[in-house]
Amino acid sequence: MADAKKGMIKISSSDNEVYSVERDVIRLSTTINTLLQDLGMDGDGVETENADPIPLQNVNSAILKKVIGWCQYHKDDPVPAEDSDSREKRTDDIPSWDVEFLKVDQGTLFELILAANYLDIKGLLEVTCKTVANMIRGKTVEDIRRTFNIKNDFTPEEEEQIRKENAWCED
Amino acid sequence: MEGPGSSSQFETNLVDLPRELLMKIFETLPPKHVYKMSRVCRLLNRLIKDDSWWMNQIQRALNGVRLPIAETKDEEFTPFTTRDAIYFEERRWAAIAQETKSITEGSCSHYATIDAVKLFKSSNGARFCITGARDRSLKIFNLDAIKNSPVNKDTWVNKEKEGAHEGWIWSVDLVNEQNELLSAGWDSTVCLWDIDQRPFHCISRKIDAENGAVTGILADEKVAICSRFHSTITIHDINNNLESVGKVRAHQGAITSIAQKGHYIYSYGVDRKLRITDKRNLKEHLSIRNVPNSLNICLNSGLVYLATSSGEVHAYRADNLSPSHNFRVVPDGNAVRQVIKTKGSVLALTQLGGLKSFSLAPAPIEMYSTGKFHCEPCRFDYLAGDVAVGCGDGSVTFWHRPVDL
Repeated sequence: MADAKKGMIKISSSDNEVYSVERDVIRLSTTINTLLQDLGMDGDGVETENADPIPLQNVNSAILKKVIGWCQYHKDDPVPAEDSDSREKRTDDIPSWDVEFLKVDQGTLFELILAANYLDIKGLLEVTCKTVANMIRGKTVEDIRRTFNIKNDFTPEEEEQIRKENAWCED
Repeated sequence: MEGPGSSSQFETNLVDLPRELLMKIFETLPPKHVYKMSRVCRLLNRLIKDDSWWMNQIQRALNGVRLPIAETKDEEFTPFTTRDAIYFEERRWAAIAQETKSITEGSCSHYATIDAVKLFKSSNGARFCITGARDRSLKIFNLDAIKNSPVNKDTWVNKEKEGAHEGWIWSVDLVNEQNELLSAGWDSTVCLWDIDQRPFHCISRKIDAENGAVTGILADEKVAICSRFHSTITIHDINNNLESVGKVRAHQGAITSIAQKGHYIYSYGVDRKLRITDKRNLKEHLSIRNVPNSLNICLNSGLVYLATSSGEVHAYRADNLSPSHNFRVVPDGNAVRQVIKTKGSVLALTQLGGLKSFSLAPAPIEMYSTGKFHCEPCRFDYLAGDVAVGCGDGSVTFWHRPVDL
């Protein structure tokens, strides 16, 4: 019998918000996928609706909502090959949906990277890291400090010293 | 993208991310650009100015595979320059598919098989290629002319010398990358040329019939090192009319390929042995090893690479000739004519399948294959993105270093 609730997995954020997510959506998280398999909650007909939610202590609700949104859109993507031979090294190929999705403030973007890493969602980690790489590309040292609000904590002497050290590889 | 000033409920900053994630973000950026970021702040400086950062980046670039120990232990190895070279080679071989190759024809071609090809840069940065062929002539091509006037092929040859030798020319090398050229071949003769002159001028010429044809010649500061048909390695003084200053019987039969670094000469012969000879004490061999039948050897980054006649590349440690790794280049077992190892790639010229580029060993991935040439290729050279392949019909095929690399 088809059951509307079948294959729903409950997860809870660090601030104790509980979300019910389709099994097919959350499978994109290798961390949760492995956990479900280890807990024997992976087969058909396994009752998951009344189980306790899986606590995700490193992800708060705002970020978890975004992550679920990303997984929902990408749930039918082909599974990336296990060997990383074909790992995409280009950064100009971020799908337009993801580009829109990642138009967020920097704090959120970095939190998404941390969450994608913690939940082991390869595709999300890939696009978020590429997005940050594109923000760095072609920028001067001063531009980078300004873009990412990084304080120059070198003394003038240290700065001069490093400039000399680096001279050989800078044009 | 909103700037840092925009209000966010999260205070997380780029530099708060763990090293592993910073590494992942930075891995797609040009290594030189990443290196420059060591000037941003102390934290990034500490991370980036660390060899382990770059070793890790190399391993990521090689899909998790570690470089051979002999390579990382080589005295000239630095993790950053190797990572940078890998990045360069990846982009060089990704770009080649869009490039137009230049092929010589008519008077700018040789009229017989080319056995010697050498690319070089003059002190002012101009790019040249020297070829020597079985038509007994030497040609110097101007790569910038080839690039700038692809149609007007008459402008391609900068200088040439017909009748440079009295037999097939098998090998050429530049002396200290300067204006002096060594050539040698079937006529048992070594020649030193001043290529500044037009037509270029022979400074000295040494005939040595006793040791037979010269199969390979290397310029080593003040001496020329030759591999000879009659089982010997001979050494000649460049500054003294190429007079013989040393000789050793190194193999049983013709020596067909030679390489050199520092005091050590690596030779391969038809006896299927690879041998290390100390230049300072020719009588003693330091190491000798039975190896597969090969057509050419190449020494780079602590390893000797062999192009085998069965279609593989075999690598041996340069310090003791113990086997390091090998890989198949040609599936059907046709020969690999020549192998060149660069800091960031391994290039193999195959008898029937064209020129192939591979990522660094020991688990190389084919980056590009030119496919079959219009006739059988014999010899090639590679220098910082420029490629020159000499073929059996006397033609040379060039690919130019892409401008935006």
